[in-house]
Amino acid sequence: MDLNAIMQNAATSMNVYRAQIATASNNIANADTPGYAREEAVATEAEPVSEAGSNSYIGSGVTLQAVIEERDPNVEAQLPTAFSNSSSSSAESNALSDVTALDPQATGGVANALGSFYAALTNLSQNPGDSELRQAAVDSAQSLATAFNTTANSISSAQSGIDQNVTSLVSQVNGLVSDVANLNGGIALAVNSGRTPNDLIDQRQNDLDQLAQMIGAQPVTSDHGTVNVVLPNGTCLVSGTVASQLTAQADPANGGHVDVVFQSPDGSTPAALDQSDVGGQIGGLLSARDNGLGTALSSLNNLALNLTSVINQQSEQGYALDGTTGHNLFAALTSSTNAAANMAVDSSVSADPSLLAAAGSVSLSSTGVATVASGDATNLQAMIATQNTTLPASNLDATQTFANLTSAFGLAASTASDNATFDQNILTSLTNARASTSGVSTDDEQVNIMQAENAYDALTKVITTSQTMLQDLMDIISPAAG
Amino acid sequence: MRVTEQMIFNNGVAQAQQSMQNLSQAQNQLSSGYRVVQPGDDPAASAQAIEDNVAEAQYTAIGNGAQQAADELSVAGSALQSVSTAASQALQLATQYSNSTYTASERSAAASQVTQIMQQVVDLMNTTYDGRYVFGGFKDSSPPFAADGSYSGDDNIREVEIAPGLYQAASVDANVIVKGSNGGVDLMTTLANLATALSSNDVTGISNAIGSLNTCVQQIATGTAQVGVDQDGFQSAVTASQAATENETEQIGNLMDADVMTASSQVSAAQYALDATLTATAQTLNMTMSLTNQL
Repeated sequence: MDLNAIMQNAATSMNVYRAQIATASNNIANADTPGYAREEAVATEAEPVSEAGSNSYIGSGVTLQAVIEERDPNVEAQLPTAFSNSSSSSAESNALSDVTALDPQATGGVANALGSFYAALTNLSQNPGDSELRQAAVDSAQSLATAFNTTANSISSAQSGIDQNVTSLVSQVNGLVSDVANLNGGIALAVNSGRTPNDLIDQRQNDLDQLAQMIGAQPVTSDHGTVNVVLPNGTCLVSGTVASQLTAQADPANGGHVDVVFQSPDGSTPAALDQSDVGGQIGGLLSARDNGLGTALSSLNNLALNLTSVINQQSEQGYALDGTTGHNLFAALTSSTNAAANMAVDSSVSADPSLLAAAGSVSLSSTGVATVASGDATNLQAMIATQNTTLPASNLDATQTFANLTSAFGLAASTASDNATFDQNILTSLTNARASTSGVSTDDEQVNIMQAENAYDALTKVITTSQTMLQDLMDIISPAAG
Repeated sequence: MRVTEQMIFNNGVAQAQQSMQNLSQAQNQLSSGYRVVQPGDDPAASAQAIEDNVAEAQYTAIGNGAQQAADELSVAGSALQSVSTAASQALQLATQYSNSTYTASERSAAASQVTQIMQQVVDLMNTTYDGRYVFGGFKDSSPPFAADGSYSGDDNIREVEIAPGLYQAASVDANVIVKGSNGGVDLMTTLANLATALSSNDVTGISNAIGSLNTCVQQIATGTAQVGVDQDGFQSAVTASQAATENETEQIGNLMDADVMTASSQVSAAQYALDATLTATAQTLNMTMSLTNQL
C-alpha cells in the first residue's frame, strides 16, 4: 500500500467519525422528541487490498455501513396493548370517580331520603290526624322523589359528558388515521428507492402510540415498511395508504348516547362498533358509560318504579281524611325508562296532605256519607311495612336494593381504579424498556462523541505522518531541492 | 438495563405523582373526616352504611313515637286514676245516703254532688293530649263523651311501633272500661241513675248503685293497670331504640370515618416520599450534567 493510499484511507475513515458525531448530535437534539428512536451510525471495515508482491492483505480503513434506529421488536409488540389497557382503565376509573351522586354519606342522597321518608311516615302514624305531621310526611316523600331525580340526573349528565368526550376523541382518531395512511405512503416510497426514512417512521410511531391510547388500535406490519392499523375486533382503520373514518352517532336504542360508527372506504353500510370492539380511552369511557353508570342508572330506575308501585298499591287501599279512597302517594310511573328522573309525589296529595291515605277503614254515616276516624293509622302502618317488602327485579327490599346498587357501582369504580394502577405499572415497565433501548442517553452520546473525536484526532496524525514520510522520500529523490 | 435521562425524569415524575396522590388522599380524609367518601373507596362498607343509615332513621322515629305514646299513656293513666277517685267518691255517697237516717232534702243535695262528679268524669274522659282525645279510639278529633255520658268514640285501640314491624297498644277502649260495653257496668249510667235515685229519694235505687259502682271501680283499675303496663312497654322501647340508634351511629362511624392517626402518618409518609423522589431525581440529573462539563 503506498503512502498516498494511506492518506486517502485516513481521510475516508474520518468521514465515518464525522457521521458518528453528527448522529450523536442528532440524538442529543431529539432526546425529548416523542416517537424518536436513538440512531446509531454503524461502521464497518473497508475492503482490504492485497500488498503488491505478497499474499497478505492490508485493511483500508473504515466505512459507514448504515444509520439504523434502535428499536426492540419484542417491547414494541407489547406496547400497543399496554397503551390501550392503561388508557382504557384509567379513563374508566376517572369517569366513574367523577360521579358523586352515589356517595353513601351525601346529604340529600337516596339513602338519607329513604330513611327520612319512612321515619316521617312512622312519626305520622303516631298521630295521623295531625296536619303538620301530614305535611311533613308529604314533604319527605317529595324529598325522596327529588333525591331520585337528582341522582338519576347526575348519572345521566356524567353519561352525556362521556358522549362529548368520545365525540372529540373520534375526530382526533380520524386525524391520526389519515396521518398514518399518508406516512405509510411516504415510507413505502422511500423504502422502494432503497432508503430508510427514520424521521417518517418516528412520526408514524408517535401516531400509532396515540391511536393505541385513544381507541386501542394495534399496528400490523405490512409490505414496503407500511403498517396497517386494526381495532381489537379486526376492523381495519388503515390499510396501506387507505384510511377509514369513524363517526360518533347518537343511538336511539341506547338512550341517545353516541355509538362509534365505522365507515369503510369501500362505501359499504356504516357499522356501529360494540363497546367491546374498541379499546383505549374510548373503550374505557364507553364501558364506564354503559356498564358502571348504565347499570347504576337502570337499577335506580327499576327501584324508583317498583318502590312507587309498592307504596301506591298500599296507598290506594286506604282512605283519606275526607273518606275518599284510591289515592296514590306517588305519581304513578308506567315504565322503568327515566323512572327515577320522573319520580314525583302525586299532585293532589302534594296540594292537600289530608288526602294521604292513612286510614284503613271507613264508616258510613246515617246519611250514607263515608267518614274516617282521624286516629286511624292502619293503612299508614301497612305503608310503613313496605319498607321491608321484597321488590321485584332485585328480590330485596328498597334499602337493600339501593345498598346493592351502590356497592355494585363502587365495585365497578374500585375495579377500574385497581386495573388502572395495574395497567399503569405494566405500561411504565414497558415504556422504561422502550426507553432503555430506544431512548437517548446524553451520557452515552457524549462518550460516543469523545471516542469519535479521539479517533478523528488520531487519523489527522496519520495524515501528517504520511505527509512527513512522503516529504522524506522527496528529499532523497531531489537533494538539490534541499 | 441501559438507563436514559428521560427514564430517570419520567420515573421521578411518576413517583412524585404517586406521592402527591397519596398525600391528597390522606389530606382529604383528614379534612373531611371520612375514610369512605365514594362507593369505590370501599363498596362493601358503603352498602352496609346505607342500610345502617336507614335503620338509624327508623330507630330514631320509633323512639320518638314510643316516647309520644308513653307520654300520652301517662296522661291517660292519671285521667283514669282521677276517674277512679271520682267513682270512689260516688260510691262513698251512695253508701252514706243508702242509710235510712237521711231526709229527702239531704239526699237531694247529695244528688247535685253526684251530678258534679259525673260532669267531672265526663271532663276527665275527654282529656286531650297533643290536641287529640285520648279515650276516643280512632275518633280522636271530637270529644268522645257527651254531657249525658253517651259515648261517640269507637272500640279501636291505637297501636304504635315499638320495634321495626312490632306494634303495641297505645290507648285503652273507654267503651269497655267506662261504658262497660263488653259485659261490664256503665259508670255513666250508674252515676246518672244514682243522681236520679238520690233526687227522687229512692233508697233501693241508691243501694243498687253501690254494687254497680264497686264493679266500675274494679273495671277502671283493670284499665289503669293495662295503661301502666303499656306505658312501661313504651318506655323500654324508647330505651331500646336509643341504644339501637347509637349502635347504628357507631357502626357507621366504624365503617366510614377516617382514622386520624393513620391518616396523619400517611400524610407524613407521603411528604417524605415526595421529598426523597425529588431529591433523588435532581441528584441523578446533576450527575449526568457533570459529564457535559468535561467536554
